[in-house]
Parts: sequence; C-alpha cells; structure tokens
Amino acid sequence: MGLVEAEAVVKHFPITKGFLRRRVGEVKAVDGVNLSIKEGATLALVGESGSGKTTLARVILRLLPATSGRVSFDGREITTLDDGALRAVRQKMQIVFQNPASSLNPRRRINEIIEEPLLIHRVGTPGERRRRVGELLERVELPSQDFMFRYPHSLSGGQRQRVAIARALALDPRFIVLDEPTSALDVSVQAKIITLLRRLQRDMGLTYLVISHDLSLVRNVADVIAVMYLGRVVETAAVAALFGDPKHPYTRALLSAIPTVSDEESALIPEKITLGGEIPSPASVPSGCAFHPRCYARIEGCDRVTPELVRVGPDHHASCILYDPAHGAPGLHGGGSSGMD
Amino acid sequence: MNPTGPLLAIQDLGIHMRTYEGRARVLNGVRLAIHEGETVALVGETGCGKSITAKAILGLLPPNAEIVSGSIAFKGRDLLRLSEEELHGIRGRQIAMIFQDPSTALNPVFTVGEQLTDVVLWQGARSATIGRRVTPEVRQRCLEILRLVRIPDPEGAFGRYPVELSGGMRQRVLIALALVGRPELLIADELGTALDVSVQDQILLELRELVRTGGLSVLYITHNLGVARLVSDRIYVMYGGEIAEMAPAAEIFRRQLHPYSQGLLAAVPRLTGTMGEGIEGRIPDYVNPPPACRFEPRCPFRMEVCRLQRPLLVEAERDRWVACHLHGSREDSGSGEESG
Repeated sequence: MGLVEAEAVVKHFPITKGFLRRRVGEVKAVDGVNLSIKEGATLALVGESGSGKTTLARVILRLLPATSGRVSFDGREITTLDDGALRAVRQKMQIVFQNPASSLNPRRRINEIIEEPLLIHRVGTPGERRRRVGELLERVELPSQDFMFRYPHSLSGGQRQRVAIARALALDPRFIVLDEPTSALDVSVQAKIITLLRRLQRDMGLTYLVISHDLSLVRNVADVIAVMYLGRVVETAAVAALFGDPKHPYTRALLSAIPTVSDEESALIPEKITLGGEIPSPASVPSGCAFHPRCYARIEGCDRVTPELVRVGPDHHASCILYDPAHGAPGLHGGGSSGMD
Repeated sequence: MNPTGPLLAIQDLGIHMRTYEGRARVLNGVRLAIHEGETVALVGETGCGKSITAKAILGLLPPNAEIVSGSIAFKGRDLLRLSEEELHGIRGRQIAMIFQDPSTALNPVFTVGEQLTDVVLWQGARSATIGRRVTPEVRQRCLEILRLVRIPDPEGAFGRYPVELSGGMRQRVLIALALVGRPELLIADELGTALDVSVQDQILLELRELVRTGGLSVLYITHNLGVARLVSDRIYVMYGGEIAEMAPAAEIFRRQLHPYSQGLLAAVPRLTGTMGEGIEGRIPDYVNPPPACRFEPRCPFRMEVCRLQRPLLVEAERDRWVACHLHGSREDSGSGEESG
C-alpha cells in the first residue's frame, strides 16, 4: 500500500455554451487513472501538454474535486473529507509550482512568504515561526541573514525556486507535488535544484510526485514513471524498465524524439520514430485507443477497442492492444525488443 | 573553406546598454562566422547575450543599446554602417528571423493568409500592405510555402486566424513567414523549445531538410544543447557576453575545452542516468564584470592570470577555438596545456 493511492480517478470539465450555460460536451482531462506512490519514493508523471498530468496532480491534492474515483493519503480516503478534516491532511501534502516568478507574491518579503503556511495553520508563536523561517532558509541553502528580508524580484530564478521549496517544507509535509519544478530554469541551475530536492528527500523521507515533460530529467529523478496520453496512463514502470524496454508505441516515440547530447545516449534510444500530427484536444478524444490516429503500429480494432493496462513485465504495465492477451498479444514488431512472455 | 569568405562575419562586436544601475557591458568582443549552407548554433544560458547578438544582426537593438565596437559583415557589407533604408532591403528578405514564441509572434487579428501575403506584397514598402489586392500568383506563392512547411490543408489554413491553429501549426506558419521572402540567412530563436517534444522533433527535422535542400544558412539560437547537437554543423558557446568556445558540433559534445562548456554539458540530465551538480555561482554582473576572464569567479580551474589578463579566442586545436588561459593557440602552444 502506497502513501498516496489513486483509484479510477476521473476528472471531466463541462463545456458550456450560451446564456443558459447549456452543457454541450466535456473535456476528459483525466479519464480513469490508478496510481500508487510508495513512501519515500518519487513517481514521475510525464506527457505532453493536454495529457492531464497537472489536472491529475491537482485532483490528488484535492485542489480540484474528482468527478469520480478515490484518492487516499496514508490509508485514509480524502476525496470525501469535510473541510475541517481536509485541513489537517493538507499540512502533509504540498506543491511547488513551475514558475517561481509568478508563484511568489512580489509584495511580500521572503520571510513573510515562507511564514504564510505557518500562519494559515496557526503553528507556533511569532518567535518560533521566525526561528522556523530561518531554519527553512538554511535547509534550502540560502543564508537566512542575507535573504530573510528581501523581495522575490531581487532573487535569481534558482533562488526563487529555493524559496518556493522552503515554503512547501514549512509544515513538515510527507508528500510534495513538484509541477515542472525546473522547466523555467537554465540547466546549470536546474542541476543544483535537483541535487537539493534529492538531498531533502533523503534527509526528510519525503515522497514526491514530479510532473514533467522532460524525459531526460525524469530519468535522473524518478523511481517509477507513468506516461500519460489524453487523460490516461498508457505505460507505467520502474525507471530502468521504462527506458530500457519501453513497450507502448507512444512511449517509444517520445523516447526517440529526445534531443540527446552524447553518443552513449543516442545508443539507448529505440529506432527513430517521427510521429505525425499533434496530441488532439481532450475535448474530442479519438475513439478506441486515443493514440490510434497517430500510431505507427496500429492494427485492426485500435479505433474501436479501448485498451486496458496489462502486465508486460515485472511492475511494468502498458495499455496497448498489441500486448493484450485477450487480443492474442501479437507484440510490437520491428522494435528490436520483443521480450513478451 | 569558402574562397569568397563567410556569408556573415561578426568581428569584435561590443554592445553596451544604459540601465538604472549603470552602463552594462552586455557584449564584449564577439566573433562569429556563418558560411554559405552552414547551420551554426549559438548556445548559452539566460542572459549570456545570444539574443542581443541576433538583434544586432537584424538592427533591432533596443534604444538603450549602443554599439561600441566591431562590425557585422553580411556578404561583405557592414550592416552596422548601412542606412535604415538600405537595412530595410536586407532585413526580412535576405536575412529573416523565426521568432521564439508561436503563441505571441503572430498577429491575432489577421488570418494566416493575410500575414503571409503581407510579406510577399511588402517588397520593401514602408507601410503595411494588408488589405491590398492579392493576385493569384501571390496566393499561389503563399500556398506553396505553406505546403513546404507541411501544413495539412494549406487552403484551409490560409483563411484561418492564429488562435484556430495548434502550437505546432503556428510554429510552422512562423517558419513559412520567414521563408516566404526567400532569405539567404535564417535566424531561428529558440525554435521549437516552446513545443512538446514530439512536435519539436518533427519541426526540427523538417527544417533541417528545408535547409539542406534550399541551400540556406542558419543561425540557431538556443539554450538547449540537445537541440543544438541535432541541427547544427558548428557550435559557439557563449558566456557573459563573450564567445567562450567554438567547435564542430560532432566534437564539442565529446570533449569541451572551456571549463564553462564542461560545466554546462555536465549539468545536462542524461538518459544514461547521470546528471552533474551544476555550476557554482551566477552569471556576471554586466555593470561591473570581472576584470579579465568573465568566468573566473565560477571557474574550478582559475589561476592568477585569469584575474589579470583577458583570455583571447584562439585556435587551440584544428578548427577548435577557445578563450581560456588553460589553452594556448596552436602556434605558440609551448606553454599551453593539452586538455584531457
């Protein structure tokens, strides 16, 4: 049993039209996702824009109500908690947003920004809170004397992201959602933030859910990866299995599109696949397998049958008709790795 | 390599900008060359001066910028000495730019067709030409270019507004806008980095094909080293308003001579599961830059001389240029150290 569990989570947004806000359709942002994140581990949700990864994370934190399905934290279902009980759970679940330039209030000093969660949850006396803010700044490697009373605009992007991390740590959380934590930063700064996040995880036993579109980054931070496409998880596996033996045609295409910086990496990439088209709008998800209009391996039936996640290896699941025993599991040919059992 | 000299040659370009904090020395003796048919990448992190370099080529510097030294020769003519009139005949026609953000670089109130025909009809005219009569030949030329950048249903796209197109399609329209004037030099600023990886991949490969078949020369400005490796023949690494290193793309990813290039490459997360710890410190203050080598305060190999004497860009090995005291030039390599 993981610290965080999601079961059949669905989040649909209505599309309304006209003065009477008549419901004319829905955006299927998340369409039946199961996830389990072990305590102390990092799960990465990867996918392109519109794949539903951010919506899913928000439903898990209950920043958005789920349309259906259950989310539990530390064995306790939170989808149905009332506000009072939710408040207590929320202390243990935090989020760090993508762009620190917009997630920090420009009119507040750094100490006020980091103190805010403590005030909201009425933790400690003013003196204790002050000490705590100093401690948190040191934790994220910002000397507290220099940074305490500055405003966000006078900080570099990397320093701002450290402040956002310090704020997320203020209430001693057990679980943190990192939504594209370094995509607004340069690589030399990104590397330092990732090093910090890893150290914090080790020292504090944190559990992370990382949202990212960058597969090379995810390769270096995650234990388990879930690849999303149009609101569904199409493949999930431990890092080594996902990168070493990707099964789903979409995962293979994504991997082959990564621009690499060394020959060693190029050698790891499966055959070159260039996908046609773009991810369709989640307001009009294709029938059957949502990926079928772009899929280079589609067979008869892909446009009708919605594939379920099936086991393709130890702790490795993919939702593709090619691996489904109910359809004979022909496997993906021409990929060089047909390790089907 | 080219007997007639490079298509574009930037020599000793120095640019200062007036800011509230004082005079910022944003470019300091930049040297860069692009030969005909060549794709060159200018890589560096935020604030290294790569976009300012591109703007200087196009004569689009902000009003607080001042060119203090150097020249930008395009086919032998110094662009910095041309009148606004003469520059008008070059900009957008012989030298075109693909702008960075497909969601903001297109005008939202005109259709794709209107924006494309505007460029074709423009012919150096001073005023906008939107609304002027579109002849069948002009329309044909526009549809042809939309087809060239692989827009499905060019006829349909011609009449659509930018909001009706996906991110990838908008990026293709921006490429079409740059190509429709048949330029010789294309400047691409962070092309594709705002797009999803599978779409970025499609567009980069298509552009590479267009460049190859069309004999175009390209200056590719990017912070993404993987993208630079994919598209370019030669790479310039920029740091603190200076060129730190220049080398063929095939070589620089195997071995970097400048400590900054080494730190930068090491920081890139790899599919092999390795990722460095980043570079200590932050980019220099351009108002009070370090006196000699601008990377010296962050450099793990810094020496006495690095604070006293500015390292010049020299050819340390065949076709490999570096501005670092660890490397002497090939001619006087007596004291120069071979890198490992």
